[in-house]
Amino acid sequence: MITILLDSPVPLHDQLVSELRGLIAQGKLAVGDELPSVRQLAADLGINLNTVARAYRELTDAGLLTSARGRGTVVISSVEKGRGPKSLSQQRLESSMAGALADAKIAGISLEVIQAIFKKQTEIIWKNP
Amino acid sequence: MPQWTNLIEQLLMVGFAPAMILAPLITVVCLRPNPTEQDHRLRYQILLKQLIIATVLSLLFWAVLFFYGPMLNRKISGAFLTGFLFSPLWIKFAAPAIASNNSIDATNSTSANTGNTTRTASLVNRHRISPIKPWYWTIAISIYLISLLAIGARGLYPFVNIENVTDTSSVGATGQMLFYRWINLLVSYAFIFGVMLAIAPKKIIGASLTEAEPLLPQGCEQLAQAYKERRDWTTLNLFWLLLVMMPATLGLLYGLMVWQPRNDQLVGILGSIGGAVGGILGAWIGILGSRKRSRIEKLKAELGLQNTPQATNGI
Repeated sequence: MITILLDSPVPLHDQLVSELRGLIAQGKLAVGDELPSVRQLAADLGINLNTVARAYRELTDAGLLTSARGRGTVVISSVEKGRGPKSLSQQRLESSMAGALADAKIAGISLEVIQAIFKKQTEIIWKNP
Repeated sequence: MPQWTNLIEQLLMVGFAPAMILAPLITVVCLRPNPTEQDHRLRYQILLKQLIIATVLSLLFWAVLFFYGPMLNRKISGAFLTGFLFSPLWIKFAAPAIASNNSIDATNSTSANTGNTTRTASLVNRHRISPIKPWYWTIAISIYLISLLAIGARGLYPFVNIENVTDTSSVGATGQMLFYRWINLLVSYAFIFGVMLAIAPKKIIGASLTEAEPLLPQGCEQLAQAYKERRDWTTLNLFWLLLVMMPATLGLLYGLMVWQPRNDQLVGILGSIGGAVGGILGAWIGILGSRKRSRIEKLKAELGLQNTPQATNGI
């Protein structure tokens, strides 16, 4: 299942990409799994076709999905295509984690809770490499 | 002309009008709409009473015309035409009575998630779990090709004039008229069902499979199962009705028309029976489909009230 929030400040397209990446990272979407058609997912979520198409395209560009005629959109890899040097990826990770941690601190979430969330998420993702 | 066709024709001539007049009332009674809201229930009861009165009056009108009315020609009496009272009875009373079931209204939105800010969907590609097996398509394509071949094969034989015969249902026709009839039927059959077969996987079956099936954020096996039942039921019925029954019936009729041009009476009877059966089946598929949707809406409302939504990302 995939869930998006209409009232979230995060754009729908980004939510979709993030959810699908999360499912691939957790192994819930494995290589060879076929995703629903753009029309089906857009209808079920009640959102625009272009939003779903754009999310699929972005994941296709990242090397995680492929669209083949007659076979629909299929997961082809659980590892993203390299987008620049490794240090750049680490830099991006550091930046997004810094943002998330800052948000958590401002929201008043304690360090223990943040560490517990981090531990839980790493366990989920690395349990299914 | 065989005796039994005359008998069927006479039965149709007598039974058609009362059957059509009674059809709206029978449909409403069979569907038993059960509006939950007081206003809807009151409206339904008024409409049902009006429908009963209008049906009885229409039947009386038919009876008067049947026994005392004029004959429009040797076979069709004025009473036969009262069958067309079906339309006002259906539009004015039966359809609003069925629609007064307020749960049916809720099924008209394209996404039942409308109004919720949390949207959840399954990631299963429904085209891959279609209830239409590959060999079903073989049946549909075979019917099309066999019918086309049967109609087309008539072109191998000469088109000769046929004379008027004593039976009034058979008409005389020149060979040229028969040729034009043959080419017309051949081309229209090839075109109509060729196009239908070409667009069916995406436009007919595809549309049925990709109809919105929003899930609840907390997930629910019961809801997924209800969607599957409705989807399989609708898809299969659409397939058999539009891609098997319709081309088979019309193929048979067109075949008879080109191979047996003297038997217009038989073609007329088969055509009216096939058309009526197809129409009634189509209407029932639509009505029962709406009922299945309304059950899903009820289930969602119940589940939605029982559970507090929370985001999940399981498959």
